[in-house]
Amino acid sequence: MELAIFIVLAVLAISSAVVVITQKSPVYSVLALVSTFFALAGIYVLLNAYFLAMIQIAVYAGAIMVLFLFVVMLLNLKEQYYVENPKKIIGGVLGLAFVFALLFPIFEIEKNLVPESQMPVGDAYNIGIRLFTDYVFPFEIASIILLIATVGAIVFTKKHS
Amino acid sequence: MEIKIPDINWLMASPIVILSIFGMLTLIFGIAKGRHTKKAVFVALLGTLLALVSNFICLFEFWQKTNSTFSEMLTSDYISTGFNFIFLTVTLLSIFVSHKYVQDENLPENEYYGMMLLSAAGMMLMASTTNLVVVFTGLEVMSIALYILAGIKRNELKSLEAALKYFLLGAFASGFFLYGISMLYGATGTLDLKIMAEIVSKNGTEFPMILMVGITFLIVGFGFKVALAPFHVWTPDVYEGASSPVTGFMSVGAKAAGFAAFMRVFDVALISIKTDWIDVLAVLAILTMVIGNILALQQTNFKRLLAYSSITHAGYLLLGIIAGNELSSQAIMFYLFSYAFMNIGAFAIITLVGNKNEQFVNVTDFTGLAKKKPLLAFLLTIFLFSLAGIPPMAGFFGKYFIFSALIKSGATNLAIIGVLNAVVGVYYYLSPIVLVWMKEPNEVEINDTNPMLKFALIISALGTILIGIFPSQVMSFLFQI
Repeated sequence: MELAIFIVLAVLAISSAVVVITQKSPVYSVLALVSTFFALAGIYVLLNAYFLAMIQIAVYAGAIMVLFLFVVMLLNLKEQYYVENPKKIIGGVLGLAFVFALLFPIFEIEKNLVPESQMPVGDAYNIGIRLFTDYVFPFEIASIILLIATVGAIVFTKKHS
Repeated sequence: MEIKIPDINWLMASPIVILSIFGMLTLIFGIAKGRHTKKAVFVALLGTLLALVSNFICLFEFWQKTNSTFSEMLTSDYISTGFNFIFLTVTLLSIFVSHKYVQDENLPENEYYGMMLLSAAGMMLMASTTNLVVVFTGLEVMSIALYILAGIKRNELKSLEAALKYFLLGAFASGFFLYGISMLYGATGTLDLKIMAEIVSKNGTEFPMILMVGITFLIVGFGFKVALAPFHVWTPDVYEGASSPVTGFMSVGAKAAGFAAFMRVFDVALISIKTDWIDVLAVLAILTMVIGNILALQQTNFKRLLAYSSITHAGYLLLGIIAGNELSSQAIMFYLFSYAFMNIGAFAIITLVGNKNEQFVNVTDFTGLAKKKPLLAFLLTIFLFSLAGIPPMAGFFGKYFIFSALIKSGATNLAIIGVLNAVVGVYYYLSPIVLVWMKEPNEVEINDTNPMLKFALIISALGTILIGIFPSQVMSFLFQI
């Protein structure tokens, strides 16, 4: 049963990812990306990472994709942005080589790294405890990253005095 | 379940915490109206000095053994304190160099110094941890602040181009780096480099291929950040487009931070499988040195020249990583410490001669500088001699220690290639010096009423010469041997 759900989700994720890069209209690309993110969130649930799945939907599929759509609509891109480029073939070949380089080591791993019975539950409770004890230091640094990014956005958009 | 708060040693974290707090204070000062807005530079200076003092205390407190706090997330040892000295020196000198430039070019002062301090805090994070999560977050703190600094002159098209190029390629490299980390985690089940070292050495040669792929990805990520050869294409454009003081800051700071983490990953965690990655790094090092040298030979813009020279320097430093023994970690730190003085000194002179809007940054603009400003010409000569590695400047001993560490580890061939490259490098460092001293002056006017930059120049020159004259004393201070 779990395997069946996984296969459905994985096929959905990969096929919509292919749609993202082959579509000529940017709006379709963005919508396909949304479905990739939903499928990924489903795979996270299968891995017991409930919190991550929730964040994936809320942050990526929700916030970030809305921003994407806004930008696409504001720019009002027509299909002419799509240029035929011979370099694409080189990029495609290299990309495929890259995929195989990644697939090889994954097939090599035969056993589960963590036995299924010992798999921890990635819910908000467990993640919260880890985040505020062992990982409190990187957690605080993340706040600095957000601050810097905010300041950067203002530096580049502020009206010049 | 009981929540156990980890023990926290605030002294160990103090250099980073102080720098971050003062970085934020610098930003806050921008809200104040009126005369306070021009004080940002002093807040930044105060913060850097305080961080320097607390780093001194850390050095004397923790040098004997490795200490960790925040559940092993933050480490204090001779590597971290030594690198923190490099970062803080770089920040201090860069603030002095920037002062007048920022006013003349009408840049947003608070954001400028705030980003500089926070970026330095990110660099310190990368050097003072053995945990890959913290390495990555530190990397992002440093990089994002540097993207902003690169494009802070946002009326200038070149500056924006530099920021955008740096940002896009940098984000791509960060992705590789993070992917590599996740694979290392998949292969060993830990993110802590010391535990990883034990697991990797216990398994001997029986490790999954995923570890190798992870290592490859890490090399790509690090290679981008420190500008190694196949991943160097962004360097000249970014170094040319960014403001000269910023270029000086990031050429040394980002490189030092990258190598600090590089060193911890490869010379600590993965040292037991050295035979598996040494060939890749050796090829990269040779490529980096040769490509950097060849392309530097044909540059007419001084900033681009120094960009290619910094690529070559990354190649020499990579030789230090390849050596991977006790001596090499000290050699790398010594090299970067001297590189900080000479490179920032060189960029300070470019800032001064470049004048408003950086109109005079071509090598030919320096023609006959000796007749107009003999002292300035003399200082430029010192910095370029040191970059070329001519004794008795600091740069010579940096190279000397790296090559002797390399020979001690048995890689004599690589050391010979390194020395040959250093000889080629002398040519393009000497050609500007010939222009400066031997030719008649041109009509480029030099406005050198800039006391703070002059102060930075004097410190850099003193550093370059004194480190060169007393190399062993500097070594014994940095490492308390």
